[in-house]
Formats: sequence, C-alpha cells, structure tokens
Amino acid sequence: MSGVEGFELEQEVTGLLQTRRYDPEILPRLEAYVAQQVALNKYDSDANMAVMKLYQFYPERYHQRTVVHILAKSLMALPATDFLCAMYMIALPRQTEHPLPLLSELVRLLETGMFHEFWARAAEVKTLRSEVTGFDGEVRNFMISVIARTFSRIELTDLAKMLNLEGGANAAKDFVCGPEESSYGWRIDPESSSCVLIPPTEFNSAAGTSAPTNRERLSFRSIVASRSLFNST
Amino acid sequence: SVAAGSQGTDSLDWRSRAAPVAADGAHGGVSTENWSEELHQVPEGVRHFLVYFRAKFREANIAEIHSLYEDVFSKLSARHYKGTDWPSAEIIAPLVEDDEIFLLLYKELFFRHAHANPQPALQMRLGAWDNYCKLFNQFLNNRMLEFDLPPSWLWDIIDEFIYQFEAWCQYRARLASKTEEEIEFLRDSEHVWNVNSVLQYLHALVNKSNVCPWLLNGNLPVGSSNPSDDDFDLSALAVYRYIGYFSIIGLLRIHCLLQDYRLALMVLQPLDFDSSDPLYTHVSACHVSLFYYMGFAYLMMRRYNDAVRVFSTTLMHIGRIKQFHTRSYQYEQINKRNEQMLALLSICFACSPLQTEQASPGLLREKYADKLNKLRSGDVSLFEELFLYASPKFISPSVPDYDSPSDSN
Repeated sequence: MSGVEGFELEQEVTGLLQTRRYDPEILPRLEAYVAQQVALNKYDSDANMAVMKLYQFYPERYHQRTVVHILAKSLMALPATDFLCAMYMIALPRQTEHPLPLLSELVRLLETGMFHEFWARAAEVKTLRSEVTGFDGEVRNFMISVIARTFSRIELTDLAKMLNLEGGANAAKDFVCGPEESSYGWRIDPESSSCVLIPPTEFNSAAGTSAPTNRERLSFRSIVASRSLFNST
Repeated sequence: SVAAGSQGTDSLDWRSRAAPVAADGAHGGVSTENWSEELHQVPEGVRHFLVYFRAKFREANIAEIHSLYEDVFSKLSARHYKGTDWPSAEIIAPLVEDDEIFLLLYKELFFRHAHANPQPALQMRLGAWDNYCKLFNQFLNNRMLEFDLPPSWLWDIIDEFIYQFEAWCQYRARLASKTEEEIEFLRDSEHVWNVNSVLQYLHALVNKSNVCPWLLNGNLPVGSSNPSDDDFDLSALAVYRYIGYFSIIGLLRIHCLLQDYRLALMVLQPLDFDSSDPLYTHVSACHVSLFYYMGFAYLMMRRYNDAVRVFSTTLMHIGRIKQFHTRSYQYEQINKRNEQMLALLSICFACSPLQTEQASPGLLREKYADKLNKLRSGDVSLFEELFLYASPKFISPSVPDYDSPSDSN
C-alpha cells in the first residue's frame, strides 16, 4: 500500500467513525485499517476499539485474526490500558480461544515486571511477533521505561537478558548507549565498564534527607509570586 | 371526593389554590357524553388532576407542572393505583381533548408506573418502547418549541428510558422460561428496544439540542434565541438544552453498561465541570448518577486516583444534600448509590499503590475500614462480593442465540 493510499484510508476511517460508528457494514474498511497499522507500525486506538465494539454488537462478524492483531497492537501500547479495554468487550467464551489466554498472560508478565518469563512465553507467538511490525521494538521500549524508573545503574549482561538481545552485553551497550537516534543516551559507568548508568529522575533516585527542611523554607519570591493568597475572591 | 388533608400539608389540597381551568364546568367544558364506562369509574380526583395537569402543560407553567409531577402524581398513585395500572391513555383521552403530546407524556408516566413492577407484561414493555420513540420524535421534529418541562422530569425520562432498556435486555436473555411463541416473537422483534436505536436516539437528542456548542460557548447559545430567525439555536430553550445534556449522561451510562469505559469517558468531554453552576447540579439524581458512572469507568480503567477523587467528592456532596431529599423515590436511589460508591472507594484504596486515604478521612473509617483491611490482605471473595454489589447491571448488546434455549448473561 502506497503512502497516499494509506493516508486516504486513515481519512476514510475517521469519517466513518464520525457518522456510522455503529454500522456493521463499515467493518471491512476498519479491518483493512487494522491490517495497515500492523504492516506500517502505526496505531489508532479509537478505530481499533470501534472494531471491538462492533464485534461485541454483532458476534457473527467476529474475526479472530483482526482481534489478535488488535490485541497485539494494544500490548505494544503499554502502559496504556488499551489491552484491558479491548478484553472487556470480548465475550467470555471467546476469551479462552487460542491465542487470547497467552496474550493475556504476556501482558500480565509485562505489567508485573517478569521480563525473562515474558520472552520465554513469547517464543510461542513468534509468527505473530514477526507479522506485527515493530512488536519487539515497542515491547523493549516499554521495558526500558520500567527499568529506567526502577534502576539507577544496571549490569549490561542483565539488561541484555531482560531485553532479549542476542549478543549479550555488547548488544545491550549499543542499544542504550549507541550513537543512533533510537538509542536512549545512557552512559557507561566510569567506575565499572560492565555497568551502565541510568539518568536520575524522581523515580529511580533515593529520596533526599533534606526534603522536610526544603518544604519549611519558602522563598520571599515564591510568596510574592502567589499574590492570590492576599486577594479575596 | 376532596382529599382529607387534616394536617393541611397534604398537597392533594392543590385544587383549593388552583386557578380555574375554564369558565364553564368542572371539566373545562368537555362534555361527558362520549365518556366510556371506564372513564366514569376513574376517581374524580384523578380526573380533575389530569385536566388541570394538561392545562398547566399547555401554559408551560413550569412551577405548577413541577409540583404536579413530583408530588401529586405519586400521591395519587399511592392512593388509587398501588399495584395496579393507571387508566390507559385511550380511556382518559376525552378529558384532555385527545391532546397528542400531552398523552405521550401521560403514557410515559403510565408505563413508568407499570415498570415499577419488576416483571412488567410484554405488552407494557412494547408499549413503552413505542411511546418513547414517539415522544423523542416530537423533540426531534421541533414539536416541543412552545412547551417546557421541569428538569427533573426530563432527567427522569432519559433515566427511565435506559432503565427500561436494561430491563428488556435482561428479560430477553432469560430464554429458559419462555414459550416457543414468545421466542418466535422475540426473533421477529429485533427492532424493539434495539441497542442501535437506543444509542441513535440519545445521539440525535444531543445533536438536535445543540447543547455541545452551547457548552463550549460558555453556556450560551451560539445562534440566535429568536425562534423566527434563520439561525435560531435550539439550545436557547431550556427544554431542549436539558434533554440534550441529560442524553450525554445517558450515553455515559449506556457505554458503561456495555463495558466500553473508554468511550463512556470520551462522551463526557463537553460537560461543564468547571462552570460555577453546572447543569448536572440542577437535579440531584443526575449529579449522583453522573459521578457514580464516571467513577466506575475510571476504576475499570485502573485510573484509581481519578476514581477516588470523584467518589470522595460525591460522597461528601451526598452527605450535605441528603436532608433535602427525604421524599421516597429519589432518597432511596441516592442512598443506594451512596453505599455502592463507598464499596467502590474501598476497592480503589485496596488496588491503588498510593496512600490516598488522606483524601477522605472519616468517610471510609466508619463503615468500611474493616473491609478495607481484608481487601488489602488479598481477600478475593470480598472483592467479588463488593464488586457484584456495587457495579452497574451490565448488559450484552448482541441478540441472544434463540436456538439454544438457556439463560445467557
């Protein structure tokens, strides 16, 4: 599908959702749009949820392949709760059809930080992962965001295992410290070349012991700035 | 048959202060010749009420309509029609000169009364659906321009419409106890209480009323307030504004019932939460319903902090207004939502990783402190129990499988 055709489909779907959201006849166009998202690594959660809703209203139109693709895209959107919202609209009997239970399990493993176990189970959906462009990349992105909130420094070999990178410590180094745009700009620990430092944020830094004192000190400037304290409303 | 108002506060005494309906005759000049047997049997108090009610409706006399609707109707119901139906519209039509629009409103009350019975007859369910379609079409065809209805009635219309839709879905899903004929009938009646039609009516009312532009324009109509102008804006009329606004909240509720919480929250975007006088505060039941469903949607999307904020503020608000609502119907409803929100709030506290209990000290401590401890220690059956108690009555939008005669749901 060319770039122009792709954009046209996107426009068409936006229009359909505004005027005929509950009309099952728009399903073929929406399903094509899902396939496009899968091929081009794009994401439109509103359109995908509209598909799930139509399948809920018209169970005879339920198309498992599209549902699996939507769930895979929703997994890639973590930490957004899209996967959860999609599952709410699937009838209970359908939720037991392969590979839905496996996908739910994969989401659970990601949400609870069990990254080694995730990759072990994910081997069971290798075909799906290669079909959905960018799947592994988005999963690693999510994992990095979790790691960055939890660690201030980490061994490269551990990082490589968590991210399932072939090539061990070196691959991990390239992934997070490399010069490419896609890397995260982390630095090797000057004190230990097998570790990498993660930029400090409020999440991965120890709470400062001077915190209570800071709160007691109000600068004159901040009082003047909040002049509303002196105005009656 | 004057009401025995010994305390003097009996509002059935309204007739003593009522303006005369017509100069000639107690029945507004309507001759009694074409009265049916059944009409003669309707109690005189009820007949007077209907004549007066219709007259005030025609005058768009909001204050009188409000008190007739809120007080007199329920008192007459309790006195004459407890456990039975009001007289049908056909029977009482001569009293109101076959006033088409008034009769649609009367039937709304008639069917609502019939649905107070948890198992209304199929004919009642069908009649109610047909009546709502006709009533909403009046709004959509610009037939409500000269009339006005109190906001509480407009809210109740939407609220009851959705309640009866829920009741129909549950009725339809119970296949095991149905006869072959009933199942055949259902198979052929997919248009009745059809989920798409329900959604379309609500969307149509929102669009027709033009309430979204009104909200975005700082609660002012965008177009002209003059009905004879080309760019006359219906949101200038309170009756349209309210029905549109309440339909938005109706959509929130329906999407929650259909388990689409994301869309439920999306439809709320135009609402005037930051206004100094938001429309949802004009009817208490609306206020409570809005935040109950909103909080529930947040909870289901794991936005625990947002859910806690919504539930806590609403619970405090209910605590303040309860004293003004000791009249039966609204009070019970508000009380029930109060209890449900406490249960949901404890679930939120148990699931949320942050210590947000500081937000509402004392609210939970009294009733649910004990349960909260059990939830925090992982008592799954208590989660289930509280959730089942506090969650809305979910419905499945799809048509049941009539070929497998068992109860689904």
